[in-house]
Amino acid sequence: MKKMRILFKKDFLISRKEFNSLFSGIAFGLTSIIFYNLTIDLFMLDAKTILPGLLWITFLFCGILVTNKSFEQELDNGIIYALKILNVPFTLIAISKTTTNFLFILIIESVLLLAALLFFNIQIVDFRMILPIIIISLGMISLLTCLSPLSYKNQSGTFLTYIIVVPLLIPLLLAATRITFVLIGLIDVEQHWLLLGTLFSFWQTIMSIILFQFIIDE
Amino acid sequence: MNKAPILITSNLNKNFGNQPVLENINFEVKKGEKIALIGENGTGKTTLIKIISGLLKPTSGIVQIDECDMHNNNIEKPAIGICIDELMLEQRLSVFENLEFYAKLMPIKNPTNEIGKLLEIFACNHIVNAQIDLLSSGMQQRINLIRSLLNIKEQKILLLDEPTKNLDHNSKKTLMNKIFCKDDLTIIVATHDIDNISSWASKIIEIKNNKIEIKEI
Repeated sequence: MKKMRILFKKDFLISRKEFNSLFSGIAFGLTSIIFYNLTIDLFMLDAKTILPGLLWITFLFCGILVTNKSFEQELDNGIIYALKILNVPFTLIAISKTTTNFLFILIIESVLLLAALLFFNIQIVDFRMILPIIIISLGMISLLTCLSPLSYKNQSGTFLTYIIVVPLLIPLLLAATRITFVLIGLIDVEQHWLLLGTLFSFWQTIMSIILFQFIIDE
Repeated sequence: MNKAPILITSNLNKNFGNQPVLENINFEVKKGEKIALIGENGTGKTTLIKIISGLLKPTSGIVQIDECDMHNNNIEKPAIGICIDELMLEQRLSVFENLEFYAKLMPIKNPTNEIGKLLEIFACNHIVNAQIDLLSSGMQQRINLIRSLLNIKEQKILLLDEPTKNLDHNSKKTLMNKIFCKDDLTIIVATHDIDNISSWASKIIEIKNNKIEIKEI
């Protein structure tokens, strides 16, 4: 626990000093929402039916932006070597990075969700759905974080990462979209999507953290 | 008295692809010995240092430090110090934040005190709040050395790869007079600074044609 606290403190300190990924995530997301707002004809289409899907695709790309350079310093400067010498388990490094990235994506999602509700004049109806959405975000961000060293090191790795990540995230994104429909009052609660989203998210978080040490070792 | 070896390398071989870099490396280092590892560029000094530290897997062979297999991932490794090519410092954090981060991960009783002492020895007190990426390469090297020396009392062995690179004359002198000369310190230093070796080294290991030659001083 002590090592975990120290790692998290360091990652948090860096996050406080460098907001590049947070700002680029918010900027990209806001641009997308404004673009959707300008191009979707709200007289022809009910925004409620398409906005959740568009929002989650935007969240996914914001997540990629946030996590992409998560291990830049660790890999470029050999910090990962220093931590290995100090017997720091790689799983702790993964948990710490995932936590800071998770905080970042929550901030981005909150800003974008508020912007989307404002631009499309939609209201949150079922506040109970916020917790499952947070849990799904954790699953998405943990997978993106733990696979980011693959994409960081080489170009073919980037391609490979998206081939791995996208199919793995489809069930999560589907569940997230259905839950967001409930959030804005388009449909009633669907227990099976709630269950699938939550369980899949937890499974993905655990698997990503376990896999991380093998990715780094490679 | 005949001391037990701290480091044993047995039949070490390392290939990069089909290219052999190190062949049949066998040597022992006893507590307090100071080894200068020399050889021309590209002969495998850094590779050997990385293999000894457990950071790089050998193609075959065993490295043991304090009877612990350095390439067995399932066991806790003994405390060692290492300073290699990579900076091992977080560029966006200050000198103190970096050193404090590493010191807290080590079993040191009073990290702040230890950091203060080493900053004083290497005359780095005035840059304690400076961000790493704003420092000159010489200053970064000093801080990297300080990082590798933080748990020097607990270290079984200290591995340094060209530690004098980018250092000014005074810092080189400090390193040789105040660190290398500690009696109970076991070190392996990969270096091209051959002129100064005799002032601190007890043994020279030269890598030539993928093999080692050991010379007593």
